[in-house]
Amino acid sequence: MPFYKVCIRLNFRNISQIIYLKTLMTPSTSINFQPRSVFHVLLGCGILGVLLLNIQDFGMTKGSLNQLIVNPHGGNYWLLTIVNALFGNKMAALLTVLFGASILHFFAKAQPTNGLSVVDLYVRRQFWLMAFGLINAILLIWQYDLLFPFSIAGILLFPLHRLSVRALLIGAVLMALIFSGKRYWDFAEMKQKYEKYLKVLAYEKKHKIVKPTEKQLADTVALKKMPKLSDEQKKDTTAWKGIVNSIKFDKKANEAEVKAMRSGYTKVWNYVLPKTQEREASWLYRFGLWDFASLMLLGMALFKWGFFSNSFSNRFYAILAVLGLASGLFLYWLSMSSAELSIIDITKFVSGSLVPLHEMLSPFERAFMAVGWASLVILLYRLEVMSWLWRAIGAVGQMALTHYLVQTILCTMFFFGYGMSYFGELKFFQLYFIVAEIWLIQVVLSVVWLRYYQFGPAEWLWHSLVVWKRQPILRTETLESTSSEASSINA
Amino acid sequence: METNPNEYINPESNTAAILDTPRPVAKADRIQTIDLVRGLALLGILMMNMPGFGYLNSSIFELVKHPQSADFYTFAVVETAFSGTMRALFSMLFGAGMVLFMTNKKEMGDGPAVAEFYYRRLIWLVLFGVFNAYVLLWPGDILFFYGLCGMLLFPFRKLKPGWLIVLALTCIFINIFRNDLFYNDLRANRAGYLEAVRLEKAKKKPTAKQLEAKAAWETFEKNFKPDKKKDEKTLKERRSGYSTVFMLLLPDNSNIESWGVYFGSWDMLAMMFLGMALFGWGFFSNKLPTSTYATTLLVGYGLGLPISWFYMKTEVDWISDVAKVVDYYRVVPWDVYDLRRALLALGHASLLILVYRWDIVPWLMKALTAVGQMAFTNYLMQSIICTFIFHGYGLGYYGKLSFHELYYVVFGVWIFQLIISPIWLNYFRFGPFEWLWRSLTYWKMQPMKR
Repeated sequence: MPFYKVCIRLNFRNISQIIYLKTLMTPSTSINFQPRSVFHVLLGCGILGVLLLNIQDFGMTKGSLNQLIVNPHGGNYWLLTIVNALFGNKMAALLTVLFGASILHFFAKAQPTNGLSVVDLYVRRQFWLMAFGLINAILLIWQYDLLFPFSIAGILLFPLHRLSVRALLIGAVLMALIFSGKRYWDFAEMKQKYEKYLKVLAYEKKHKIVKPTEKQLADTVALKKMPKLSDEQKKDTTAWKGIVNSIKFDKKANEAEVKAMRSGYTKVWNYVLPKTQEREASWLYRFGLWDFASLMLLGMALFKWGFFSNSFSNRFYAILAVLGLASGLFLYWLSMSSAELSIIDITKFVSGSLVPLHEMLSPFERAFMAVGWASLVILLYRLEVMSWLWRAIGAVGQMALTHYLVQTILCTMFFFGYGMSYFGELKFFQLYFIVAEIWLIQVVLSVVWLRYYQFGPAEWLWHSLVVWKRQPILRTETLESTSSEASSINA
Repeated sequence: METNPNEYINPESNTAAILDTPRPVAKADRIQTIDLVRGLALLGILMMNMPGFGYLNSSIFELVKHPQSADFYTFAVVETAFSGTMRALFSMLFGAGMVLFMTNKKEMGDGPAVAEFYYRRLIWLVLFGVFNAYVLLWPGDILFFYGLCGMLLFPFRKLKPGWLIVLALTCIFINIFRNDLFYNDLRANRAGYLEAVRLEKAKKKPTAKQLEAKAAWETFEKNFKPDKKKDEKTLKERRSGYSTVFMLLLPDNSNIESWGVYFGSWDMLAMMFLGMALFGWGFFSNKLPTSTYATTLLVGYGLGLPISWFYMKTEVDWISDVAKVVDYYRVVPWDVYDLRRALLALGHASLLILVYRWDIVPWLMKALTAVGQMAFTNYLMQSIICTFIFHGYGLGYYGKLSFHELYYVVFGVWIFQLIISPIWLNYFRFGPFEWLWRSLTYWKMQPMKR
């Protein structure tokens, strides 16, 4: 039975058919597919895993997500906590680490192609990736796109690829510390605003400043004599109140957001664009870049150390997995109350905390979790536990760029107004049915596609653009040069 | 004329080699003109930067009210003949310098590593830019932008001049498009405002949309006009100690380096591509016949100055009465900005190269070339000198000089740099910051003394 017919028959809902898929993936069948390396399995995990967090922002408003924490009742709160503790932004961290590793892999393997030197190829890869990122963020409307920051950090960091493992690790820690420091600075500024506001409150109390009544308003002479706040004091008040209001759940604003996201393409585009720009320009410059750089340097260090090339014993990976996950979860547990308080009661958070613990610990927590998960996957892959699963995930990893974009397309088409318009419609736990559905689609798509083609469509386009020459894509076409091998690592 | 960039030697890195080993004079000459033009751009850029260093922005509103004053004449001359042109030349030469850096190193035969040094060099440049902005406290820094834009240029280094021109034009059109988006919004708000006011006068109720536009226009006008309290605060803080100035400029620096790069890189990329194309044709390396330079001079000034005159006039109108400009022009007048400054920049460069060829003032040319050779040092030196003169931790002259008096300081700095640069280069191979930059790039102490 040809495989495409199998796919048509799969309606992705029936467990028995998932099991059928599993049998398809076992080596005894005619599926001609082996992941090229454990690296692709990790990439697949990262790409699929990143949806666990992204689905929240694809499908719900930030306000209603925060409401789950403000009014915690029942399963949704626990689901949110568990998903965010285990996977949350850790999967993006894993992807960042892998991207860093792929920089070194590229320089180790790539050969000059089509008259272009290795650095030339590398730089072109990054700039085309930037283009893909901009398309993903702006055209396909995904404000949390990773490709754009990856490409920028990739350009900035590649001159460090000759550094030793030690130097790279020191660099990673340094970048994480800078990130934490900047977070602290931000928090201190907020605290200052709060203290200024408190001073104004005290002044108001002392001078008995009250809002003028209507009668007083009418009498201009008396109004002038009333004690008033100076412009400076008014500014201090609005500055702090602005912060409080930006966190507070506003039902009207929430409804407006849902309405906007469920409109046509141009409306959604106009609504999201300023947020995307804010993220790509301001946030990336102030915070994001340091975070990405830290994790990428960690990935480079791990690659140089031999972490991804099976050079350690199973025992070693087991220890790393336990240590990484345990320390990561410990840090998460440490910072959880701070994170929740910052959402539930910003005033209490700012006045009561010495440091923004959850923000400052986050780069370290994410690094531990990323290493822990990676070690666990490598271990299971090597022990050949559920090898059919790793094969399937490896197929996704081999088409990582394609799948990253496919996730955007599927999710926006499902949630946004120009698609099926489910934004704000689903309960939190229901989002994870969508995740399961998308995962299944992606796995099947990869396995089928890679049966006939060497690369995913986006990968193929990317390679062709980088080399500036149409690359072979069909399995029957021969690989032209080593460059396509080297450039098959994707973010 | 055929040009082969391989013949040239990187002026920044190999000045020593030129002087140490005998070479054909013509060859050394070609490089000299690049340094020469860079020297001009470096000194010229101070004319536009000086108000940023020491002049309260909103004083411009008072200035345009007195069109007979020395201040106004100074403003008119600087705006018409120079504004934007020196940055354009600087960007062009940065593009040309990139090609030089790459081709020159290839001769040494260490192939792919050259590109790595190129990127390391730029990363250090970005960091120097951060230093210039946040530590020396100059929010008008361009090094940060140049470092990042330079990274983008690299894959285009082998492109034919024709394609580079296409790229430059594309960047310019993106600029124009963005300007027009902004201006169309503004005009829509203005139209809504006028309509709402008319309806309110007739005791009718404007629509919600009109009211929104009205509010938007009113906010724009309010933010546009000088705010006395804010100005007083700025004056006071700029004349205070280091930490106060640092905190005052911190948000500016952060906004400029994030939003500025994200939206504003086209400004520099356009001129860098243009510079690469011109370099490919041999323009900056003194390779073209005198008649070509003369024609460029005539076309550049002949077209550029009238356009620029119009541009300056609308700028004055914009400052004196923004509503009038918005009502009058359907398309934003700044659309001519890039065209005018490219034309004028070419005019300036041609004039300089012609003066150099005619050998009228050889001593000045020599001094300018030395300034250009130490451009990086001189650029940072300008920040150091000017922030010292104007900020409170130095002499505290911020806002104390009138517009035309600023240019006494400009002349002072020019003379200082014209004198000190050749003297320094008599004893040392590079300027101090060039040496530092080079040593950081190669991560090895570079020889400094001659």
